[in-house]
Amino acid sequence: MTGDFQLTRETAWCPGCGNFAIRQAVAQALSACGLQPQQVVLVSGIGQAAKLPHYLNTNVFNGLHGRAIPAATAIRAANHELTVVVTTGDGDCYGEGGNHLLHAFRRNPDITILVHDNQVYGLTKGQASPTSDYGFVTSLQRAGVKNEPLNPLALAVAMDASFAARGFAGDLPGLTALVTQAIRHKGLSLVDILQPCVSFNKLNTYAWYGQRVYYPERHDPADRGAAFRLALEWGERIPLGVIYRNEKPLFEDQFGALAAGPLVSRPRPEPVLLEKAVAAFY
Amino acid sequence: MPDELNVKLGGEAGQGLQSVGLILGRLYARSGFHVFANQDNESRIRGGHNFYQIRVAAHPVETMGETIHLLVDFDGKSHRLHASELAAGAVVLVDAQRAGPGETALPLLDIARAAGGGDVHRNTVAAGAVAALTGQDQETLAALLAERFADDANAREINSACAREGYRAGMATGRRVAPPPPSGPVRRPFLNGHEALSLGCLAADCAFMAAYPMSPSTPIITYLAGQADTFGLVVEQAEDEIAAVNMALGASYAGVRAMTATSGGGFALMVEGLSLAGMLELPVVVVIAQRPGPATGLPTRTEQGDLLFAIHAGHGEFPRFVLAPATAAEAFSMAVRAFDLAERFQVPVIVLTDQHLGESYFTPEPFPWGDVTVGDHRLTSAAPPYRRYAPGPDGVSPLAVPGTVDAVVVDSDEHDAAGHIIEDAATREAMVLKRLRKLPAMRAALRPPLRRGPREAPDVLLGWGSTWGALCEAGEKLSATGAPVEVWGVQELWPLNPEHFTPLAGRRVTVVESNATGQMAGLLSGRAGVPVRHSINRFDGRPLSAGYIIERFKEARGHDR
Repeated sequence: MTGDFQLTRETAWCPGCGNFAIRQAVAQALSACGLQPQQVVLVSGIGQAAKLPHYLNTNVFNGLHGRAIPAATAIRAANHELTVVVTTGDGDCYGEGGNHLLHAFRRNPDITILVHDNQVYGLTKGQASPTSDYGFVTSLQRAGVKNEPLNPLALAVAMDASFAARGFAGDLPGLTALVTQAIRHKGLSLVDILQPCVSFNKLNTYAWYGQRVYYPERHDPADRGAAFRLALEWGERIPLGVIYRNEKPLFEDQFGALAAGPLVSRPRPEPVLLEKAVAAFY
Repeated sequence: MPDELNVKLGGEAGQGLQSVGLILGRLYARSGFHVFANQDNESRIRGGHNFYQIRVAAHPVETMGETIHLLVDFDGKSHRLHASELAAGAVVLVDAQRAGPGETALPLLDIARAAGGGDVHRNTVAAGAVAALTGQDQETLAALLAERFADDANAREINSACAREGYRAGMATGRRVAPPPPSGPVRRPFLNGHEALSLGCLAADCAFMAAYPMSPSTPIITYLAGQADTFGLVVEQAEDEIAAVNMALGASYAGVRAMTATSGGGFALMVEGLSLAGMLELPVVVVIAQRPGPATGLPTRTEQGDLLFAIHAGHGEFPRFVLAPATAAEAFSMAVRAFDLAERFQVPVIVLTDQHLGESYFTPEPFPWGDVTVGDHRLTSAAPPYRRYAPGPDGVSPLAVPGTVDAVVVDSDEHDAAGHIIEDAATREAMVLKRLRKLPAMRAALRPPLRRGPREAPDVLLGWGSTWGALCEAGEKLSATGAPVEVWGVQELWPLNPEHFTPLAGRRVTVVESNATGQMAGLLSGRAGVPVRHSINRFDGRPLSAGYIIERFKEARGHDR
């Protein structure tokens, strides 16, 4: 089954990049969900993570830097029979497109947002990202990053996201299971994926993450308070898995126009409707 | 008796001028008159000074009148502010117990209270009085109010009582300023440019609209949101204009007709998205309702300052259409056309309106619903492998809907025919040429400018978009004084087709625009070799009127001698 989404194409990723495992996890998860390539749209912006859709066999909307979420939201609105997955990076999603993420939490479209979070800008050659640790030294931030890092999971819990999780590119089986859950979840799913950047992040390496990540044994993702405490945990120990889950109405379910079926297959409005609309102006 | 009636309602924001104006405009339209109404509003919610002006005639009118026959002063300063516009013998109704010189007192609040109403009903009293003074049928007014308050029995009762008492008080003044009787019983809709444009979007089978509120474009999304459930639309208020345009593109990709609307400042935020539409070759309609800039400018006023911006917006090189409707009727038909052109050529189409067109009311001839043909340029299926950017006639590739073919791949990076990211020089060059190959066919698809008046006239007054009504009236008046002038209105203006302008060779062309730098004049002289003799530019935020054009045209011609 996995074969359906696999595509043999030369990638523009560095050897050893965490993106390879993420691609594998996405392909396996889509197959595990019983989906065919025609039923899926991968939506992305710009960055190395945003190239992922090109390396799988399915529908692709690779748009602008930071703007994958609005496009993905509208793709669902236009055809809610499609499974829509955003592949994005920490710069793309939390920096350039941060405003869209905030409002996506509020809208709650049934999309899955996979953030390849390597805590650094790769494609522009190693500048700080919104999730870079305080003091992280780069070619641009020579004296170290002066800003506090953005905490995507705490943000998601604070915004009452429908599904918030953290995965690790160094744990393919765990990541695959997590992405599968995220895709199956009805509502907006955010999966922040720790993704070592072998070229520009010499701090947050496979080993660095490997020593810290763990799956909490007893955590109820429905408990928002517990989820917030877990989301704040960072440093010596970094929790993985589903941090918060909250079933709530979908964006798509709140449009009368979509009750009868996808917008894309709606019949043209009858001329009599237009005549009635004009009649209101007499 | 003048051959038309001009009524001006002056007052503060929040006094309900628009409500009175709408009722009166509809009253005259329902009685068979041609009506044009324009409004002048300050960017505030309460206070200040606004006006609403209604022109009523037996003949078609598509621009404002410039001599006021009836002024209703709601704020105690309208008389002073508009004294110079009054016709000899004009009636000035003041909301007061006692009238000043040249005024007729009409204590609106007292009348409203006596009829069981309050402060908010002063405007209904005024509507009744104006109807009486202008010789209109009381029953028609009563019917309009009953329809307007159909859902609220209490409001219906109070408003009809206030209108009745206002009518009685109006009759009791003994003054009359009736328009000449209408030529026939034809009833026309009374609607503004943005309402007509919105109806056109519905007729064009637009299914998705996302926008961020910005004056003067907001009424478009507001109207469409109100129709969403009836017509089966998804209408979403975006968090910003960047989201709005990217949403429209996402919806377009997924297979539905999609649009957004904004003003210049919001369009500035959309520009990267416009370029994305160019690269992905996705149909999308973007309405720019122009207002004076730069930056925040004059938010509630009018300008045609974004022509060059619309034509050049977006990094990189890609084709787009720019259309500028002249009237409400054209706003309707051009919206239909915009969606069709966008889909046929898989390009963004910008529709340039402005505050004046959008918020002015017209009485177009009954809309030709039966004539609306909506093309469908999307594939329903294709044999695998589907290639989104496969070569096609005029550079247009087959456009498939995700889910109906093996895969639809679109990419903002330069891409190959399958839509996948590439780096090689040969593919890049081929794709640039493929996109630009659309231009000759796009140019050929554009309609030539509108023309009115004597075709042999040595003088030509040329404008674009919303100035058409004022231009035509200026042209007619000038021609009637023995100096024949032909009027041109460029409405489908990009990609510019120089052949459309060859009849201007050897003539004295005066270009009239609501901007300071003569953007159309520059385009025509630079790109079409049009010999522009004079430019008339208005950029104070107020609409061009026939009188303004005539005065400056005479000045300019005076310099020629």
